[in-house]
Amino acid sequence: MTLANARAMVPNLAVAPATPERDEDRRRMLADWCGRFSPWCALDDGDGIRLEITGVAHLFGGEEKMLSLMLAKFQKMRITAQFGLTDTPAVAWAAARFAGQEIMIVPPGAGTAFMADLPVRALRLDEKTVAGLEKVGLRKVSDLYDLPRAPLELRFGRQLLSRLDQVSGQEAEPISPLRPAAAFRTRLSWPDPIGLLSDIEAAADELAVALCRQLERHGKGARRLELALYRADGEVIHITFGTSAPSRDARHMIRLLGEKLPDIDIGFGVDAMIFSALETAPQQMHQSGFVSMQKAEASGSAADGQQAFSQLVDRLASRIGAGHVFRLVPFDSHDPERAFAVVPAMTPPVNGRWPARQPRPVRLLPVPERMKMMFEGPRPARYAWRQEEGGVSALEGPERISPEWWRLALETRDYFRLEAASGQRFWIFAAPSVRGAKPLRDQQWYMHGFFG
Amino acid sequence: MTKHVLQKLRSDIRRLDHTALSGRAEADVIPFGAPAVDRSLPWGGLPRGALHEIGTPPKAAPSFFASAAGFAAALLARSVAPSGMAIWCQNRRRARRYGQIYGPGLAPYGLDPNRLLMVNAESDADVLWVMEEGLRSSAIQAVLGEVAGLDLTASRRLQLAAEKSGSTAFLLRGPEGAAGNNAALTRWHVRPFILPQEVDKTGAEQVTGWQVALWRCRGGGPAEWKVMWKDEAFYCHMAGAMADRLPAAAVC
Repeated sequence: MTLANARAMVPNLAVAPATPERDEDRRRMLADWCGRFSPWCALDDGDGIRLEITGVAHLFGGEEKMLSLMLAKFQKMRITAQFGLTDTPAVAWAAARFAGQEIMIVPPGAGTAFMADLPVRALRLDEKTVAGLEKVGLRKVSDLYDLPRAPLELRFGRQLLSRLDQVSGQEAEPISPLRPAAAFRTRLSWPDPIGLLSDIEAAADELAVALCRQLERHGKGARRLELALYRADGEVIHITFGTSAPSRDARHMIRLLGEKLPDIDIGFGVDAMIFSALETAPQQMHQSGFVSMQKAEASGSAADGQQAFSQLVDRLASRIGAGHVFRLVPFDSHDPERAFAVVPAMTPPVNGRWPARQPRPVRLLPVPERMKMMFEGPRPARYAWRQEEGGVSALEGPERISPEWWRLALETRDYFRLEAASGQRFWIFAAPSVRGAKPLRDQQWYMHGFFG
Repeated sequence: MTKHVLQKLRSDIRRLDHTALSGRAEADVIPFGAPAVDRSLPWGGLPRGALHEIGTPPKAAPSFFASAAGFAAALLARSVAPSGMAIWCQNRRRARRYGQIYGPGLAPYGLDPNRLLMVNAESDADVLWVMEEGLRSSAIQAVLGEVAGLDLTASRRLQLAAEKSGSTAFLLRGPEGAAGNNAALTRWHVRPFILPQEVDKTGAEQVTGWQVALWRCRGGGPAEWKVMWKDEAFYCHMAGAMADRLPAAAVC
């Protein structure tokens, strides 16, 4: 029907342009939101969402109760939904769409019988195959059950047989979840949304303790954690954070989380929270609890100190940014800008002294800056840089630093130590364009660093 | 009788004022190793578990900042045990303007790269937060933060955190900051100073001269010295030509 025809029939028809992209985004968001029911959620073919609920239905009081709960939640969000549940995805797909009721639970093993009376379209086939089947009079799914397989495949393609096998459960159809399912997760939910930050913090606390208990049972510590907050309006907020060393110290997790919680937008409230350990690593049994009790004592063993240090690094990294918490270690290069390496704070100790070559400045400008040198005859007399200006007391050098030969883009530099009459010691360089061809006074000078 | 009461009151005041730290165990003090300096500090050195401020003299050129940084690095290195960790926290914006800490340049100060945690914070508020976190952690023995300046409240917080943990806090005042009033136990002005030619520089890779003024010290008077830093040790510089220009009390 064209829009003009429709308008002729219903004069006050509300019209809105189709927005497939937004619908798709919304479906993805909803699928994400379904993570509160099961860790295995995926987008289904077409217009649905698929959940694997093996082993989680009991959390909601059984399959039927779980589905009614989901239905109620969707209705609250003003979304019309139909649910199909059974032991194979292919039958569940049809049950949700062709049963004509809001909730359809097909008992295990009854899939073939349930499908028998449905139209062939219920097999999730493309339009061309459906049209082809109908043309030869195969309208119901049961019409296909007893036909020989070889001619069917020859005429309608591999997909049809595959679908039939999926209905009977002979062919598996694994789910590929939107988000990786965490091995360790704890969840809390409430019949009515909670909106106070203090309530959410208390809930996070409870979840963290439960999660740490799980981790402890398996001798694991968490490296990456995620707190998912399920908002009542269908949005999900994921807070992900990492630890620099495996941890199952609930207090530590809460402190890391505490930096981020106040920033989130709770909207109209949150009615479920899931705390999961996305990545874990083995951790010895004795540490949790025991150490946190002793932490107050400064004189702990080396392991305690290590743990206190890694927890501090995590705290700093969560507020300042992991890239801004680091160590500087010696790196063997003559290029002054590469004579050190920035390594993560938790890197094991390196063989550590700074090479005692030539004196080096304690502060280095990120980019060398142009400066002026004034000469009296061959002797440097004054310098000027930014707003500073002064007499030269001594100029020591040069120390020629050539870039490694494979880094051709860089020029050779002649570094000098400039001692100002007022005492400052600068690290400056001249960039000789032709080797030693120009006298010092005609060269371009750059300020690069400051000695302590 | 009156005299007795007065004496008691005086000693009470001293105790309350954190200045009666002279009775502290030796481990609680970082000695300079230069007798003249240690003698003028009421504690016989720089007390741990306290906040110390290091900056440049008023109206000094911004390039003096590196000297203050060098002096601070020397003190930071001395305040951590061989197995302890220290934090150096810079402000990213200030580091872009006045240079960032350059690893190889830390060599003369004896700061082991494995024992120094660097933090580049976005703002001075974050720098102070990092310092406080560091002071609270049992893994850290000393923290150094670069900020423009510090008000009374913020400095009291740091001073209290340092007292509570026994870790030492150093505040490196940036060149753009002003020296307001704060609760640091000692406050220093550092400027570079040209060592005379006759100074024995043999054997050392780098010899540095600083003119150091202790301009505020709870329980002690102001004093000024010319010191030399060589082979990770302080020496009071004494040269005939220089001595007569210094106030008599400060000549070592």
